[in-house]
Amino acid sequence: MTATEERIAELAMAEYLVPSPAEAINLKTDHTVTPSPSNPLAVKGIGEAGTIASTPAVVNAIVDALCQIDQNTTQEGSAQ
Amino acid sequence: MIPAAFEYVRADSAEQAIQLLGEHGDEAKLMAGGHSLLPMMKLRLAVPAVIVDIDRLDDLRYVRDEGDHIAIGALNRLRTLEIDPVLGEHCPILAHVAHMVGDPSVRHRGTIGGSLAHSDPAADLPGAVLGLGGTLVAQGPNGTREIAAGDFFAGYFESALAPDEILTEVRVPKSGRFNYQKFNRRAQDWAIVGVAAAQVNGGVQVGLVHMGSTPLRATAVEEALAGGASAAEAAEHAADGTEPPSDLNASPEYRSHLARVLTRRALEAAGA
Amino acid sequence: MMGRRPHGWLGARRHDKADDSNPEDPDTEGEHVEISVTVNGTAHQSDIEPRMLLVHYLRETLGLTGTNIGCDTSSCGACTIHIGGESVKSCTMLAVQADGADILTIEGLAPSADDLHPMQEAFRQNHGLQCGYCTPGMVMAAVSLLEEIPKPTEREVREGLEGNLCRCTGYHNIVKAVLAASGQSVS
Repeated sequence: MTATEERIAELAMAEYLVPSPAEAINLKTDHTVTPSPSNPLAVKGIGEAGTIASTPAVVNAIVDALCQIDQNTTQEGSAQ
Repeated sequence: MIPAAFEYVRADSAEQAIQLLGEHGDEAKLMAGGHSLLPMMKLRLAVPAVIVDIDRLDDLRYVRDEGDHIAIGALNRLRTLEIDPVLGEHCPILAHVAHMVGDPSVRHRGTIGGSLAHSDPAADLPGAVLGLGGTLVAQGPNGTREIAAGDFFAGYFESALAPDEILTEVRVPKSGRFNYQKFNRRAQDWAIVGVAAAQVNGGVQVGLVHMGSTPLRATAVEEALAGGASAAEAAEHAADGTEPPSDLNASPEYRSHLARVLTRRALEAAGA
Repeated sequence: MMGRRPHGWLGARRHDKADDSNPEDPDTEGEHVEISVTVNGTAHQSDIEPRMLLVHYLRETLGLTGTNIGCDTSSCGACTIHIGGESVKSCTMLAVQADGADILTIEGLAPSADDLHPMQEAFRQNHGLQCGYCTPGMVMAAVSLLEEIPKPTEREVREGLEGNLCRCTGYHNIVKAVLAASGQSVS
């Protein structure tokens, strides 16, 4: 999304870039399970916790691609 | 979302459509598949008072090998052209470019005549037909006339059709190895820049999409190739004589850069 | 679309807003036309304004609200239905253009209330939806795709559904569902 002055520039779905199936990729999903110590069922609220990892995963992929062609992009300092 | 009100008439022949256009003049617009005009009417960028529906004129749906060219009825759906065997054999770039337009649902309704008459500089088919040096056949109250593609795309969303003319046929030369580079962010979107290259008429011809207010022939590229330049050398001229627009997706400078890169790729893939 | 407005003359009337006092008001209800359509096997005859979009006819006149509206610009595909067995974006068609047509909406896809269409079953089994808003259009587009390409590759599925947008799923399970519905095993 871009803002021009004080106005969102993308006025319709034709301009607001929701990816289509053709741009999306295959995902491999897995689980980490850390039982909560604080209740007998060992359960905890998850909200959409899985989405938190998605942003650094994407950033790391971009850094991994770029650091092969640009000396200034390094793995150190990219999202953990 | 809702078009302005209009009067609707359905034509049962090209002649009747022409007569209706003559009656209503400037207030009338032809509609075939409606996939160029209706989106504009929904945003009220187009407010015709009369719609003349020509979508049922099935006698304008044919693809014929006429020897030195392929004759394509203007009302062919893009889906038909994607899979047509005559086109696939004798002018495969056009079948491929028809496949690159929009998405399958759009291609089930949109027509080649509608796309060409709409004359959107960012549309794929005008660029490809211009690159091939095709001929457009228009029918009006005084008979038919042939319009070279170079004269047909007259301006921004403006074809050379008179208000009382209907596009009936598209003629393209037989062509061979080709490549169409369509650069966009999303598969269904218009090209940010597109380059259509094909072996035709003994050489390689190149049409540019979204590099000006109309589709453009990359004549500097073609001349360089004819003069012995390599694909990479010729591609350096891709933006010569163009006036690429600026919009949310790209600046003119970026479009010029894209044109050069995409032209090189298209020429190499087309065997230039 | 919005950023690429044409400057030329695309119609003889131009109005910035509806105005009751103006006899040329483009929102004054126009003269009606009569259409006959078959929808999910049932014949209908209706009197409508020519400017009525097919999607509004299906949803509001016929009460078939399974078909959704997700955008203004023919981008999202939530409105996808079948005409003559081919997928069509019903928001980009006038109801009057569909006069005489044989239309199938999502409501007509399942053979019966107890019997899902294989594509619907595949979406269910493969968790091919979250909020479900894109799903009717996605299912209709996918059924049409398999008519044209009975055993598509994953790439062909992704490109075949390029006209259908989903904000929730990232398409992973949608693609799986379509491949499963085509009888191919999913890698």
